[in-house]
Amino acid sequence: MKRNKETELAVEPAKRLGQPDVPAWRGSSRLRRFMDTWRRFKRSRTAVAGLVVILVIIFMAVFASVIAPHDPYDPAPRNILQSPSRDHLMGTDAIGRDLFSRIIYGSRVSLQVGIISVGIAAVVGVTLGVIAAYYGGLIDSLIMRFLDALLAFPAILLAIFVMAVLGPSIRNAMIAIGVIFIPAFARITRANALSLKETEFVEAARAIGARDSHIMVKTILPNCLSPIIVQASLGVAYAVLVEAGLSFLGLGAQPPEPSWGSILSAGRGLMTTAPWVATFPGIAIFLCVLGFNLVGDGIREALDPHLKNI
Amino acid sequence: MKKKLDDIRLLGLSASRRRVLTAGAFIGLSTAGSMLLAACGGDDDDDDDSAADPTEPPASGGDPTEAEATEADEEEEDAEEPTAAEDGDEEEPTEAPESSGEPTSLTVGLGTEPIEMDPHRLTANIDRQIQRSVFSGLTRWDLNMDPQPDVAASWEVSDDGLTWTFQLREDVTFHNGRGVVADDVKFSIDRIKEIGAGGKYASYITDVDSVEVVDDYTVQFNMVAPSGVLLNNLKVCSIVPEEEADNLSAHPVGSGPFVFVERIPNQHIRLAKYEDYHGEWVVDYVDELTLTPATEEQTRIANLQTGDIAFSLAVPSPRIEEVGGMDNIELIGPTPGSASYTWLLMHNQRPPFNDVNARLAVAWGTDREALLQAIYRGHGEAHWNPFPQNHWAYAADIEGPGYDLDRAREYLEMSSYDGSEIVFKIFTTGQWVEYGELMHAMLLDIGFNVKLEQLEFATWIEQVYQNHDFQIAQTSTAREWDPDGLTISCLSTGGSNNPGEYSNPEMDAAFERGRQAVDIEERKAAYRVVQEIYAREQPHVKAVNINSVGAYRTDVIAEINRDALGLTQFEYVSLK
Repeated sequence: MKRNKETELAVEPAKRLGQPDVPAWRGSSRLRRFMDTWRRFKRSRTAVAGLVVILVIIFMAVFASVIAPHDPYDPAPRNILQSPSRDHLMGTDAIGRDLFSRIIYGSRVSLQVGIISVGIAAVVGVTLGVIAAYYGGLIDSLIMRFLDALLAFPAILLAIFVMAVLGPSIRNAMIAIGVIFIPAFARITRANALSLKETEFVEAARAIGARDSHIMVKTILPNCLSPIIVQASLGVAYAVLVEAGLSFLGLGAQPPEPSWGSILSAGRGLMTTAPWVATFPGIAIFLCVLGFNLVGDGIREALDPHLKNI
Repeated sequence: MKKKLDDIRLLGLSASRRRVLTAGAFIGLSTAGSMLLAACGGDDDDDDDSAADPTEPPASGGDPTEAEATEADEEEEDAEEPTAAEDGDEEEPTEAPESSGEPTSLTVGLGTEPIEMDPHRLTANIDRQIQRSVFSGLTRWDLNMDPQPDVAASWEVSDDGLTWTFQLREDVTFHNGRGVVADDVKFSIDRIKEIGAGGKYASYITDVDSVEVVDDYTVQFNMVAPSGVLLNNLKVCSIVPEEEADNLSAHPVGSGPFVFVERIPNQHIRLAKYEDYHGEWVVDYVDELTLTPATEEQTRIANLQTGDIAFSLAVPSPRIEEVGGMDNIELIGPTPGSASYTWLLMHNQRPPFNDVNARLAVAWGTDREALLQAIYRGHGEAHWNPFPQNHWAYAADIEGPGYDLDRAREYLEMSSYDGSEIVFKIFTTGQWVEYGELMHAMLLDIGFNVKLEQLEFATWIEQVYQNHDFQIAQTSTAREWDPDGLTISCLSTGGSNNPGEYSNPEMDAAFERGRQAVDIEERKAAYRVVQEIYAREQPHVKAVNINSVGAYRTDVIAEINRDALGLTQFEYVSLK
């Protein structure tokens, strides 16, 4: 009951900008830490701009069916390659589908792939990283050498390889992109966990007889979350880009599914006659990637202990 | 005994084909040097050749059977004769920088990467460009796609039409130096028959019962039934040397006008003029021919604009007007007409399309005009009939399916289709994704529960054409102009272009009649039956006859040709 009240309150102050240290939510340290971070985060204009972009895109993805003026799958062969007009804000594509609607629906694919693939990578990578750091020795070597091998491949090439094995589809694109991000998460987690392992509170936990799994999950993991969060937000940006790349190559979203990458790919042959088909998905990819990057940078700065007291 | 040996060899080949293909690049590279040397040497001989060749009659006329197969005759070879005139150009270099002695090269952009270079195993239309340049058959195409003597100097047919005796030329050599003899002809025909549906041409010679070697330069074909189209169909039956047969996919060796030099997958295929070529070169300017598969359409057009390629075999329909308006670039359409069309393949032996009503539902629900306008910008004909409307065998009065969505849904209602998911296989080259998406939307409109699956072209060929593993798939086809070549392999039982496994004895009988008949009216009647059955059974759904065009640079190329299949005979090309 008390917790509920806290969260309700927590929403309020978030709106009242520039008013730090409101006593009502001082109680929970976790919440306070979050609000501290938020305060520092919103100080950066670029980060807030990025957040706005992301929120708009998320809004588009969630309410695609409401916002989109036309059916993104419905071709109008007698109405192809119309230039942008009031009826078709971004024009129509090579078989007469409304580009604006397709780009709105395309945000679903991009966000879905971006978030789920990073989710896969984070779960697997963090788990492997903590295990490697905690147990050390042979287990550490095995895990890390395997991840080094993964890291040795250029990301796109590895993704194409995974797609070639699994076959092209959005689901497999998520898996492929997830796989290529695993090493990054594992390494960051391991580096942090290695130093945390030696701290007194971990030792204390061990001394009172906590199980390994408990120490890893409850003691070490929460303390290395910040770099993981930063990595995740930057990772989403990169995942969106990789997904667009894979779809551009025909390996990601399968037609007629609208994906920014595949719309762009279809439009590249029309640059001279219908430049809007390639331009708008390009802008969409650009904004989305920029948004996640800015937010990632913002979070990193907000969480940076060196900047904490500014 | 010999037959058995062939068996073993062929088995070995099919088993290790992939390996052979990968090895091909290396073999090609290693032989490239020596081949180039051979190709560049002895320019002086050329003049002798060209002087001698035009005197050779292009057709050993007066042969009655000759006329039978060339009913589609317009005024033929005379138009292609100005060899002497072209020779004159060579002496006075008007604007061409190269002097007459220098080797000249021509770089050509292909729309797709060739898949198979073995002339008996090829499936994709583009593969035939290699076949035509590197190999020769008993007969050959002239520029109207009519058969002319090639390796065969003359032939006789027995009164009952069951025995054909071909007299071979004695001056024909394979690129490895060995002379072509009757044994090679027998070996090649037997090989095509053995490969069967693994290649494209087995259905062209189903009426050939056996081939007998009479002497080194005489070969006898024993027929199952008389044939009016044998000469026409022998054009595609390339003669290959037995000793090279295992390696033809990687390194084709034939007796055609060009020697295979090297292939770098996805980059180029290099061919060089064959100095000892037996046939006529209209103009022997092209010493080296490079075929570059620029599958990216923009790249191909940009390359054409900059002069990196002098000829693009295909121009994407949306850009035809634009390319036609460019400086120094001219378009070239198909002669005598386009025999390439798009169609929807359906597996006739598997549900739901084993039910004729399901097929008719597709046929009536296909908006052909929309496909023609949206994908081909109107460059073609939208019609249900696989025969082009300017074809002599086209029967204008037969009623076929048009676009009527209500009717399509009625047929679907009548069919046994249960709403289960159907996979629609498309491939990714050029505009085919858009075509597939449009077709997909139409199928959904009719009421099919269809899922698109896009495959890379080579995978698509393997799954659909070789393994017949599909329910519904889109494709285009380019066929011979003769109605036999145009349709038989797609519609006859066991036909080598019939992955949908359509089979109808009535249809087969009509083909039989069309093939055996000599009289053109009789043939027309036979192919009329074919069209009637096609209209009511719709073994597949034909959508659009594509009027595909190529484009060439007028400052490089003086004369070029492009046939109904959208392919070129480069020995007839002359440069400026």
